[in-house]
Amino acid sequence: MTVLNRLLSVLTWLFHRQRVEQNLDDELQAFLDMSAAEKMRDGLSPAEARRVAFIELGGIEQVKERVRASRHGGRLDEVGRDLRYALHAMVKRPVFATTAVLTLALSIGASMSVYALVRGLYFRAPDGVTDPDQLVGISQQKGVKPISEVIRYPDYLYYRDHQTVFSGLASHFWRSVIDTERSEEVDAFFVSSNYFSVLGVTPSIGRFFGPESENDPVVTLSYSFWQRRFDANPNCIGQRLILGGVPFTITGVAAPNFKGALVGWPVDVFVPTMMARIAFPDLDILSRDSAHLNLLGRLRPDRTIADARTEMTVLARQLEQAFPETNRDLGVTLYALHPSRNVATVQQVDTPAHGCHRLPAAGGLCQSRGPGDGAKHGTRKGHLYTVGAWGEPGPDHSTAGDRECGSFPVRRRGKPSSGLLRQ
Amino acid sequence: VEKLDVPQGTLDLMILTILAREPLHGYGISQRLATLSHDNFHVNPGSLFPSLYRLEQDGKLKAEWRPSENNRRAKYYKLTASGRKQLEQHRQRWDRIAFAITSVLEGA
Repeated sequence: MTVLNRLLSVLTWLFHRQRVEQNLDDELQAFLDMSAAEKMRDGLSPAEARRVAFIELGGIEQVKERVRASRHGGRLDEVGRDLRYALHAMVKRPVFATTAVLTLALSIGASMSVYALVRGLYFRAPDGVTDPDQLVGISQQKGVKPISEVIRYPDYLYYRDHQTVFSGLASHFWRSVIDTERSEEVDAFFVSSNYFSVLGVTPSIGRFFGPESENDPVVTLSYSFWQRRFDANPNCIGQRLILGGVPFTITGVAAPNFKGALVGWPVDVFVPTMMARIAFPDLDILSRDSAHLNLLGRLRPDRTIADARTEMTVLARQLEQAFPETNRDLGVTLYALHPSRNVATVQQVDTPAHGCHRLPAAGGLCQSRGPGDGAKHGTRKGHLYTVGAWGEPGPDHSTAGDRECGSFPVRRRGKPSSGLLRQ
Repeated sequence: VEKLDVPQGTLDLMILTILAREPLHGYGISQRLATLSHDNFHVNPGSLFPSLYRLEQDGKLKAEWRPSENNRRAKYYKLTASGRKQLEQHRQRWDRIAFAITSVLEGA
């Protein structure tokens, strides 16, 4: 009721101000008259009575001002007066006003553009993928810290092989590597062999690499890199591109609009995760000592991100029990890649930013390797890893997994034998 | 006699109390207040009218113009139902405050 009364009163004040003012005027006049009349009854002359009454009232304008200020909506008057004053001041000093307005316009414009840019770059679904609505990004989380952490390769395998909510679970991570022939840095995504199928992308020419070549030095080019580096020459398919000193066979070129699953992140080439050593010479991707991956899942049509969160959390708990030293308090963070379906979209920015911090370090690392390293051992030299115990990784195999997950360089000829890496 | 300042927050209570007996105009309220307080309070129109207008806006008072006792046109304020309710609440609170203060002063 009170609120309604107040609203009415504000409206009256705004639209019938004349009447309200007139009423107030009349009322104060009546007050003065009555006060003066009483003083006359006390024996004062009419003039004297009126003078004393005036003094007692304390000034008609002052009283009116206080009444106006106490009215609901009275503040509107003050704002109006301030605005008028501001306009007058600006008209009087046009140069100052113009400078101030321009300064404000520029700074507001600049910050708005940055926000718009960031929104446009990061807060949108990746381009060129099928049904981005179904895609879920997964990283790890230590305790309750909202900082996403990367995932170990063995843990990825465990998640991939035990989850039921995704039609496919892929992994990817970004590093800068050296294009040896040109001594230039290129942005490489190290991706699992099911990466392209999980994202549902098709190549513009050639083919993507799949599970059959996940241990091979094969590379798929991004469309822009293909144009830049190979002048869009379709004959480059099957040719070699030496990355970090290791010759890679070009399998194909991605579609023009597909720029990887990390929105806004530069990508030149896609190479299998197992080739991570071209970025980290001493890295054993299979060991539990290093973590590099972010995961990408495509939800099955009948499952929700909440289902996925539940299941992935259970799997994370199992890994924690099996590997308390490395996985204590490690939880999983899931977020929809399509920002409109995401509550905590900030994590999408978190991942590229993460990489950004490491960019100089990674670049330095790759450069220090120098060209030719690795290549001098022959084209097919590679690290081969035994993962027999990891084919079915799980809590029950924890000790075996730990023990047998070590790596040793093996000269590999021809196709990888079965039983290696994939069971 | 030196006048006292009306304690903060009590002017509304006193206005409502005065108007609970009969409708009055602004001058009448200020006179009644002076008389009832044995001339201890003299409320300035600069405080009285803002209070009256606020109470009217909040629907606690209703005002109408009518001739005064000496045939002058004056704005008479009277209590609404909502004003009567507010009076009761404020009165109860004031009684508690007065009781509490007196208890402290006498108990100390």
